[in-house]
Amino acid sequence: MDYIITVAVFTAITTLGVLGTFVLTGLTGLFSLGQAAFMGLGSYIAALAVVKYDVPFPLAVAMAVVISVAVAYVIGYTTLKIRQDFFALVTFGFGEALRSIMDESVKYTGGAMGFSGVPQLTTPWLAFGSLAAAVWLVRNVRKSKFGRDCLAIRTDELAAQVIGIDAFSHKLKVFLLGAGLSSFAGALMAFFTTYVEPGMFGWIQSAIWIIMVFFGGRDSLTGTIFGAATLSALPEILRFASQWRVLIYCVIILLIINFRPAGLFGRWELSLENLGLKHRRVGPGIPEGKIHG
Amino acid sequence: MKKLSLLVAMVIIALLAVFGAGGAAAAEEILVGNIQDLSGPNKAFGLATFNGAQMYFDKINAAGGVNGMKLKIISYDTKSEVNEAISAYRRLCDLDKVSIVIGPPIANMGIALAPIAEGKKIPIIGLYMDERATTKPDGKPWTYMFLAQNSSGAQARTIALYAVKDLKLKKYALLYNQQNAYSVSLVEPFVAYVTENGGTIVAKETFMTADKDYRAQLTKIKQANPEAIYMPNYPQEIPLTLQQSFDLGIKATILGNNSYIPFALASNTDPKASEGVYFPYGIDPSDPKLKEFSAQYEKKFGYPAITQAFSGWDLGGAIVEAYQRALTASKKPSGDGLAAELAKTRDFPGFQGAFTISPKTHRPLGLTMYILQVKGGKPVTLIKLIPPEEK
Amino acid sequence: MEASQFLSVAMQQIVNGISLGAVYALIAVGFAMVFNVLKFSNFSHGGVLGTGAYLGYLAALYLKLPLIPVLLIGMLMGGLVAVGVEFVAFRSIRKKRGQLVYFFVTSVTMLMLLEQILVIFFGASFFTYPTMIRTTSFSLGGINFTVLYLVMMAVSLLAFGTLAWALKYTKLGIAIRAASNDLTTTNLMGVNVDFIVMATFFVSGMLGGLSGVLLGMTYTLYPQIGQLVVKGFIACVLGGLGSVTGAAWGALALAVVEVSLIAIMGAGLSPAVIFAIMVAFLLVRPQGFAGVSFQEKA
Repeated sequence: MDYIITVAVFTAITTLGVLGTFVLTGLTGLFSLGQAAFMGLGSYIAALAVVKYDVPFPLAVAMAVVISVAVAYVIGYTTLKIRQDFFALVTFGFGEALRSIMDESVKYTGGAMGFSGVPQLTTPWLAFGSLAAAVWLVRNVRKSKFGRDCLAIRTDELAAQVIGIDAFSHKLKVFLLGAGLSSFAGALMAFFTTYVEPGMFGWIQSAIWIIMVFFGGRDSLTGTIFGAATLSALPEILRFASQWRVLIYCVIILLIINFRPAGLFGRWELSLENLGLKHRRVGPGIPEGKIHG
Repeated sequence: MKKLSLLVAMVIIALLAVFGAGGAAAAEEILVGNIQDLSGPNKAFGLATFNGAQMYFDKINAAGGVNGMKLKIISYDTKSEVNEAISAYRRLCDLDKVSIVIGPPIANMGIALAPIAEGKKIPIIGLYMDERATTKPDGKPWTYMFLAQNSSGAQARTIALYAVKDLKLKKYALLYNQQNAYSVSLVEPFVAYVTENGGTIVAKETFMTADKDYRAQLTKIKQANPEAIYMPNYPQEIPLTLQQSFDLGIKATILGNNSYIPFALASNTDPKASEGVYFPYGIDPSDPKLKEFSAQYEKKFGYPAITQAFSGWDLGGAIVEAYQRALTASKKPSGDGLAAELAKTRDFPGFQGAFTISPKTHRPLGLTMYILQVKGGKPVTLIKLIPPEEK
Repeated sequence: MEASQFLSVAMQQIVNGISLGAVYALIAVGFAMVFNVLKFSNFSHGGVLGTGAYLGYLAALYLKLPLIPVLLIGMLMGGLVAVGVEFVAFRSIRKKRGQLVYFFVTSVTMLMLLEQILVIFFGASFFTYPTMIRTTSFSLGGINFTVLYLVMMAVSLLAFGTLAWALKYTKLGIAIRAASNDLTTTNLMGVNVDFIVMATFFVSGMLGGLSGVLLGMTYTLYPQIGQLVVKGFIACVLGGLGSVTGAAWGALALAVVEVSLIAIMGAGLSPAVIFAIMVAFLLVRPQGFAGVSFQEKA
């Protein structure tokens, strides 16, 4: 039982981290190869605060998020004006830069040997509760005017700007939100696995998160959660087939992109209406139908 | 609706898979866990450790087992990732319910597992040389962690002793992977010994795991004109550091670590680049007393035995003896009981010498080491040494 | 340290940097070719690189072929694999006019897929190429030259020269350049775009396979060797997306900067410094060295 709970909590925290990528890529169409680095940043700050400076756990987590968001602000402010491909490159560079700083600061953080002996303070309740809260937050952001404006930016930035949406400020806010979510997940993760090392937060990890979002469907919050949960729990469950597992996983992604590019869930969301348990209110609103992009 | 039932079905299948995978031991079995790199660039050492222990268990099982119980190993591949090691350990403890675990020869993993073992209380005995895997910062041992070969400090001090006293070298340079606990744990004691005994470090260069090109660092080292360069690195880095050093025309004496067999030898490295390299090793490969085991090993596995295989045998022996002693106190020994018995391992007649574990550090006491040199792509044993004590 | 000693060390580091630059340039140019025509960052180029490297290794080890045939086999295999990748992964997205991000996700997936296939067939450990060059290094005027790096530089120059010539003077080359400019119009002009794309991938794959074999020989052969494609990506961006020569210069610059940073401050913090340089560079000159500035339309 203990082991299964461990897998479940690990999956929940990873999903929370992936939500950071979801808001960034799903809402604004940006993709960041450094999202996992924010998780790393959150982990390290929280772990250092508690272990070296005896800061109480909740305060440490808060510090981790605040500092990460501040860093994201600096990065975002300077780089969001650059075009998309470059943004991916810059976030990649950021991830690697962060990793090298972690590696170098051996005296404080144990460097590449990692930081162990972090007390296990993340309870399953905390993990699942946080995930639930984050999902609620993201859902509301998406439904708000802010969220819809972001979607407009994603679909056609030039047009959105023409009707008066400030693309830069929206993108920056989303970037901050994403960083906040991922760093929070990172803080939880550190106090769960009790071990943090720089290698856990590289660009491949960020790329995998993007893939998870696309697997579930970047227009579907439910889809992303499903995608993240499945793809992070799968390695444990398919332990015996480990070599083939990665192969299967890649093939699945290829199939999805080719045959169902909107992701497994498309735009379907888990809601009472969609489950047929509540009557859909007919009235003014965005008409259902296929929208490109 | 269809999607939902598909989802539910997948979840059920997943749960079945997870539940189905664990299992209780058959009544006459002792379950021993094994966490190793069975694939990846460092698999040579993981396999050697595992094979050595397995051969010892086979010998005991053939003679009837431990009090009639057969030893069975449950293995997980860590794929060079620390999180896999942690995950595997948890799985071994919770699902497979092993009594004891054979640990990896990877320092990063050993260090990470130590605090977790405190919580799970299932002892791990492995070849992680870094002292931090067996003792805490305050010097007290981690209750459930044990080492079955000479520690990093012992090995580094051995080669340092040889360099200072026998080769009479004074100016040293260093080239190592700063991201690797193993390399770092070898460099620090080496530097300490050398500087305490009249040597100086004229250059210290590092690289990162992803780097494959060290010529910028080597050029700086060459400029500092050292008499020797200490390069205690991992398998994949060894041929590269040696080749690039040679190509840059560096003439200094090269000192290595116990991974130099087989990675500094012919077929892995250009013999011109490795000619004359010195390194410490846990056993003497030319010792006739080891020949029988080596032949059996090579016949069974298809590749030669390296020092970790011999240490693995000793490790297996320590496990069996500890279990036997623990059985006198209780029919189903607990993790605590086994840990206590492991700490009392005394004079087990192993390949590395009389294998005794110090209860103060959970590391072996007084194991000898050999200095070998590479000549013509092959290792030649030069001398036997006792590693200098920790200060 | 005297001036002459400093000079010789500096010269050696410059030689180190330039030879590393040749390595990166080969990767960058292959990468740039696909970018020019299809406008996305093709990370699967790394997978092509790795596959070429392993197949070349097999040729060297089992067929006991000398250097040049091994290089040619690597090139051929690389080309074929790249065409295969285009067909399996990118063709349907292109036909459906999918968004750029789908290309990106697919290319990263293909990189991982190819890497995993190599792991399954060859194991996750590493191999050392058999020695194919007798003298590995020599010294000239106090500076050491590694023969393998000189070979790489020579091969790179030869490859660029041929590529540049072909792009300018052959019919296919002109068609590729037209496609880089505007795929749709080229199609409208009656050119078979599918064939052009396939040819582009083949050439890109040849360069990839070639770099793979050379990298495998220099740095040992391991399944993750394809991840070096990231250097090509950085070089392309620095050199200006949209320019093959720019990519080559970008690669050279990247290598020299890396070597200099290591020489000055050690390997530890160089990614952080490179990152800072990159950001500054992109803010000041987003079109890179040689690229063209244009507004991205969604």
